[in-house]
Amino acid sequence: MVDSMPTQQLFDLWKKGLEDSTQAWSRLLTQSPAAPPDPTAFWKPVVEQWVQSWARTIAASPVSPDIAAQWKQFLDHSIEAWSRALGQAMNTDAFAQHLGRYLDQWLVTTAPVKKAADQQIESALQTLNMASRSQLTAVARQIVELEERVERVEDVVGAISRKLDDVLRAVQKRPSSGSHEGASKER
Amino acid sequence: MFGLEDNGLTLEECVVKILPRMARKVLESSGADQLTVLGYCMGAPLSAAFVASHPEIPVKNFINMAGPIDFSRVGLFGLWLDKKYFNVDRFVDTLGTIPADMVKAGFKLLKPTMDLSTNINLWWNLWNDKYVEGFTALNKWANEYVSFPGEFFRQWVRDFYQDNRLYQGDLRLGGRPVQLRSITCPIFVVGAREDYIAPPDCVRALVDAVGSQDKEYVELPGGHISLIAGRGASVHCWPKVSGWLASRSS
Repeated sequence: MVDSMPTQQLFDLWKKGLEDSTQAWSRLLTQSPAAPPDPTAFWKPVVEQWVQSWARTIAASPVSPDIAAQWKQFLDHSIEAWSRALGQAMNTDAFAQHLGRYLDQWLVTTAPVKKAADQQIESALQTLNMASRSQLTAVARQIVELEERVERVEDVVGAISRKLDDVLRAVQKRPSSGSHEGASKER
Repeated sequence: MFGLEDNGLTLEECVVKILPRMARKVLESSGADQLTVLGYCMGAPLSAAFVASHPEIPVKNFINMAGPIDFSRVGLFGLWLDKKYFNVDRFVDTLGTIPADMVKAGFKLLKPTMDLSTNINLWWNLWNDKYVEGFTALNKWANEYVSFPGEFFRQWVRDFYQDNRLYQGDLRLGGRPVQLRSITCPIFVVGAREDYIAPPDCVRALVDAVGSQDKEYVELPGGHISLIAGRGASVHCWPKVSGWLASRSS
């Protein structure tokens, strides 16, 4: 069996290199006069997690000849690390606020376009003497209402039918007791 | 499928009109005296609201499968749909119907790496006919999103996600109060350990909220969908549900 240490060392080396370059990048950014928000605050933990998960995988399982299986394992771990990091980033008020703003902005731009497009399509269909979307919707709404009415009628008919069944059962019981009485009178 | 003609359909209508009618039809057609109600995902809070507000319907058992109940613990959706950030009225008033693509985008955003890992796993198992067959069936179903009727979406987000009215006992539907503690039938709650749509904590909350004596909670491996569908579900989930139900059915 191949010893896992060399691979571990390789990853440690790679991790250190990555950290050094990230720090250098960070220094470069913070040296500029108008310092932008620290991008490493978000990316560094992601990369860290990713590298750590790779290192953990290597340490946990010695290198096997099945390179493909190991590659898949690495891939799964790194996707999981990305997923966790993204989950953490999205589970913040700042992200929710940005998302809300983005949706608002999208609605502000979408609403007039949608309205204009609807009007254009409506008038085009009218010109072509074809049924418009609103007309079809109105028909569909009427069908839905009709369905509801039929269901209500069905409920009422069901209730009446149940009552009739009860009455029928009661009536069927009576004649038998009546005929019995009659028979006893005859005697 | 919901269309523009359904935009006026409210959540209240579903709980007060449609579900009771469905229950009555089930009782009529089966000839049974009582029925068991099982709700999955958003169907669970809706059916919990129905069971709680309709004591005249003879419900023998209630099963909640991965259905959020305490929306203060519902995770990312709860945060994103918070009143501070999400204006549901503006959304519904502008769009009318909430398009299926938008619903899909919301769910995909919850776990952005999901599609990537799903497709990698597919490639990895491409030679495995059984896997591919199962994947095709599940993936098709899991990606068939439907649009939301506008008014339903408004009520769903406002009363459930933003105000958490069901859990807090402030919900009124069709003039009836909806109090979870008025559910007294046996209940079975199933949560999924890796569920990020309805995290186990918000599902489990039903156990403490109801007035039932006979209540049980189980947490099973899997996510929101794999809890109920796929090979794992047939091993972990359904035998448990049917076992629980069998001992409480006549």
